[in-house]
Amino acid sequence: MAQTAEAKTIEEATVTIVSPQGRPDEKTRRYDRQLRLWASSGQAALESARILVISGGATSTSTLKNLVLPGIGEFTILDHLPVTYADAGNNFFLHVNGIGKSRAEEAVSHLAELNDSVKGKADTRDVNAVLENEPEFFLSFTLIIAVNLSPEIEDRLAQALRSGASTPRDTVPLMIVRTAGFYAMIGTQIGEHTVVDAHSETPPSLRLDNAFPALLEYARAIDLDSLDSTDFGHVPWVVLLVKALENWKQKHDGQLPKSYAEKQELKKSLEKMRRRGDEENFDEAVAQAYRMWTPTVVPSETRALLSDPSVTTITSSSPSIFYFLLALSHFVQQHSYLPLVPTLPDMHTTTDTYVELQNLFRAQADREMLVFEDCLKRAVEEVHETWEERESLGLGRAEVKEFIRNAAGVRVFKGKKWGSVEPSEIEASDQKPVTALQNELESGMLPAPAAVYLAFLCSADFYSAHARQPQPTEADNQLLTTYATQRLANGGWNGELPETVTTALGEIARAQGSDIPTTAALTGGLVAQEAIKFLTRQYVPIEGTCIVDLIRSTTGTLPF
Amino acid sequence: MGRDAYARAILGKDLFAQLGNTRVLLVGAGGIGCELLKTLLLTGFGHITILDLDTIDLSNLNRQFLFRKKDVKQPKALVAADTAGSFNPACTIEPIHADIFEPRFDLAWFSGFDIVLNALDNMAARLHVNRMCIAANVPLVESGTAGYMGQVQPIVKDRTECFACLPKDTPKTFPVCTIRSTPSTPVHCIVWAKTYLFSKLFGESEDDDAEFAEALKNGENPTEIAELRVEAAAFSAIRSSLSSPNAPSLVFDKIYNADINRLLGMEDMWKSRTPPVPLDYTAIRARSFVLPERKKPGTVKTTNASTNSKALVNKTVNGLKNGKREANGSPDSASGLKDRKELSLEDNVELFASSVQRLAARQASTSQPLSFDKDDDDALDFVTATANLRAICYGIPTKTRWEVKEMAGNIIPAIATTNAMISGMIVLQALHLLKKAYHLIRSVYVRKKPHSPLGTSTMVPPNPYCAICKDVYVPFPCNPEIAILGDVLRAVGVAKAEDEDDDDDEDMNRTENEKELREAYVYEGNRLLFEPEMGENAKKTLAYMGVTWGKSLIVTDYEGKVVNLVLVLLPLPPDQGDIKPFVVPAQLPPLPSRVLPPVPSEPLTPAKSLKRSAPEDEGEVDDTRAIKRIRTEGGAVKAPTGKETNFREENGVLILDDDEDDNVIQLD
Ligand SMILES: [Zn+2]
Repeated sequence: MAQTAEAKTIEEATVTIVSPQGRPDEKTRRYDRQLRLWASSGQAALESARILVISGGATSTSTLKNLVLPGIGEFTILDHLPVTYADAGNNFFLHVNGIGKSRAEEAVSHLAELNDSVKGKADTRDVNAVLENEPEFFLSFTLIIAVNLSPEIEDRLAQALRSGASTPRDTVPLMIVRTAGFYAMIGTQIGEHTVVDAHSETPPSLRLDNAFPALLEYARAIDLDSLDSTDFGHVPWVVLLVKALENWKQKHDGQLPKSYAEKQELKKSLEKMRRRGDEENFDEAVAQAYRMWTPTVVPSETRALLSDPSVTTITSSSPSIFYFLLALSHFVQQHSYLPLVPTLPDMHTTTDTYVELQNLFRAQADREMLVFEDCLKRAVEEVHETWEERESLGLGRAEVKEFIRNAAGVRVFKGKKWGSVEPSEIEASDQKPVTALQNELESGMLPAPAAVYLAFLCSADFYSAHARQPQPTEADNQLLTTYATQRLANGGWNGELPETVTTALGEIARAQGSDIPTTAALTGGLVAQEAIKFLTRQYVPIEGTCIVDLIRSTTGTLPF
Repeated sequence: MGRDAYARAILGKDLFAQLGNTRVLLVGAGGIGCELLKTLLLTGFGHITILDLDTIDLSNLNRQFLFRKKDVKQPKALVAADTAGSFNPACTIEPIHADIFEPRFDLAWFSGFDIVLNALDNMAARLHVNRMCIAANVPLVESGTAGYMGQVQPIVKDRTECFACLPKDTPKTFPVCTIRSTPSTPVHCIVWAKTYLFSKLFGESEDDDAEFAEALKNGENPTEIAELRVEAAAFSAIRSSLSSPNAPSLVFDKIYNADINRLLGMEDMWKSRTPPVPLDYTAIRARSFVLPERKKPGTVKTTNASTNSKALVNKTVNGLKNGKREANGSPDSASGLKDRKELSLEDNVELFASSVQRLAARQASTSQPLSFDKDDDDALDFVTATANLRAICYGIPTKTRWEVKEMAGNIIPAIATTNAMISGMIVLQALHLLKKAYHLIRSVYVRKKPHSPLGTSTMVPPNPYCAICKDVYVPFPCNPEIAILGDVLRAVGVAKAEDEDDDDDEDMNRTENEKELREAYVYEGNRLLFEPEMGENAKKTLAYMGVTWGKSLIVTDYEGKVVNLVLVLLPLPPDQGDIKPFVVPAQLPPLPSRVLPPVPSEPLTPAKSLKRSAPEDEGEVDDTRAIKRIRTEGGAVKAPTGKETNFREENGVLILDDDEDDNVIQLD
């Protein structure tokens, strides 16, 4: 009896305690592991995305599974075909009891089970008809993934998205996916894509090659000789490097060490500053010694970006990132570095000293942020906006800090068209597929990715001529070979087909256009990953067209 | 077109038919496991055994697509088999909710599979399955993912590197006194809260004696250890009053007041360290507590330092090292999500009180010991609050609940996409292995390279110095209760100890044959059971020494001339169970000569070089690799074979001769 009473007291006590501090909501807990990759800003972008996937085959549902699980806002499958026996065998989201029913509807209902907060829609119209009658349908999506369509429909879709966009920046991103047996191909059409955070693995520079004045003064004030052995062992490596380099510069006209021998000499002089030889802070300093002679520069990608017309000629309608970039170009004209990011790495020292150093870096970062804000003000005024409106332009203090933290990782990718574009439309960096192939051929080598791509083209040629997939027969192989020879001859290549090409043609014939589980799993992962990069504007997307070759367990990219 | 038409066409008739009869073991039903099970079913594998020890948590659902919200807390293996099984009734799926280390999963059991696929999340289990597959000569595909990165490695004995051929990073460890008395970083406080305090209050009551003895042997301060013994003993009193309503204040007063005050009494300890400050539960809750200024130790030194650098020259706090993560601001710091909020002293105390009561109530209702789980909110609340309060005592920065979770749980980011790619690659390599198309198998890496998302490398032959896959494994049917170690050794050609059995008649007249017996060390895991100079264990039964079915005896040649002989213990055939202690294989396989790792030409500089690699050290050869291997591999630890003077041996564990504190507490 006493026990019951006591147990009750506990229960009451537990209930009366105010709800626990900082307990995350259910959504945060569900998405915990991915929030650690793309943060809540990325998650918000996913949750507002509307994705269209055309056709409900195995690769399509594999891709969608990987987008529904992390919680995209909404998806639509556009597919007019019914579920077949073969579908039920190779597609985990189509079952035998759905045979004969709409593939779009069946797949949507099974995929929707994966995540309650994602809306799924089935559209059972034929993509051809929609392109014909309602091309604006496609413009309502955030991203479109077209899987195993004919090249002709791919081209028309790509064209519809280009002509429907008011500016290149507004073009709905299109991912083109083709699979056949152990091969797959992923191409993209994007208008303009900005990566706001590349999540570069390179830590921000501490600029120790040229320490900022307050850091230099701090280091100078520490007299190593007067420290007892405990203090001596806790001088942070940042300070040791600043001191060692200052000594070096005094003896070398203020120059950094350049040759390997000079660098080694500087490193030896650092070693000579030790007392016992096993001080942990010196071990760290020696490991970080390269920071003394690595000159702080504006990364070349950033520099190239700053001179891009999209940055130099911004208008009042430009997204905020371009205001920031213009401000950054003003900043780097005055300084030869990016604004300081106040992240201090791990080091062996006392907590107090660490906090002191951290404050030094923060104070310097704050000073530079104010200089950057002056540059930003100039940029705002250049497009005849008023600085007082900065918050409404998305240029508030919080956004400024966020931009500075990611500045080195900001990228802007220029438009990339898909398909048989008119010669006049081809930009310098945008090579026509066959031209790229020919370049490879003329260089004397035809790497496997290009051969696989050629095989995909020939398979499409076959399909448009015969309205069926090639089969692994002598006759079909012969036809594929003829198409390949023709395509290459059109580009001026008259030699024998390279072995990589004949192998690839053989595999394409053997595949009979099949969507096999291993390829679908891998391709579905790859396509969803790229889609997430586009949607979150984080991480650098794959460059060019990606070829998956699972016979050789590899991927490659082609420059278009 | 039939249901399997595509698969048959692309795999070929023969391989497709073979798959129907293939027995595959899938170890792990987590992120990779779910994807794999799906892909295996679709590919046409006929018999799948899926094993996992875990139950489903809400945070699994963003990628482990065979589980739904209603399945939370159910065993992963069972739910996965149930959800996926309906897809292809032609396939038999055997789910096992168990630990792969259990003795019933022995050599014979592993031998029953055609291929093993690892989808594991921890190093110990990976090394274990690797060893079992090498011993059973079953091909293995090993895999792992972390965020956007992933890796697949096919493993075939004698053809490829095994999982242990390259050294793996050892878990981070801390000395006992750092954790219990003199923490200096947030991670020290979190380890204390998670591995010590949590289990003291709610977990399996463990015996500290072994740990303390080990710490003393490692040269930790004996006075401090004596104090810690007292402190630990007092926990049993606290535990018995956990169900009382004032449990939070009892616990708080003990750990943040009484224990801190006792530590403060050890004045020697604070001569060169900033001493901690005790906290007052009642005062904090009444909002009348003022955190006292921490007293600085030592004397103030005079220098010409500017005001900026005062702290460095005026204060001496020993051994402080700032945790890496406090330097990198969380990308979400501005997001306003609740568990990323900085907690004040009062917040922490409230969180402490409520989590103690919740955990105490749970324990009272089940009377089962609890164990820390990062996804258990009560446990995480408790660890967050207690670690932060300890940090406040010691003047260490506190952490948000989000950060504590990552540090305490060793959380690795995980998403569906990488797992999907990896599972496709695993099945692909498995198909190559089943076809014995060894020229096609590859190690594959998923990485963040815009020009080439997959990295591929051809297979590397086994490391000749590998301590796992170069050994010779022999199934050894025995009854450990009656099998005597000395008899076993003699039966496999190893001599008993020289100084042993002086009164034994047999030994008075050794036969010629026996003189040919070789001398050896014998290990079970890392435990040294026997060596020629110290042979009393030779008279004991295997079971007495804890060597039972599923475990192995590793026989290491005394002179290091031949590779190890590993006797893998199995049950005796049913008809011989009670009569015979063991059955010696009719013919023991020959033991190949051991290839010796190159002896470094000059003495190695201290262990520091093992811990940190200098990124710019152009042209320096990594001569530490062979030594590092000895220290880090998870399986058997080898006796030194050369004459390196850099080693000393202790309890069968090789320790590099340095004065580093050695591994005592593990942060899993
Ligand atoms: Zn090995």
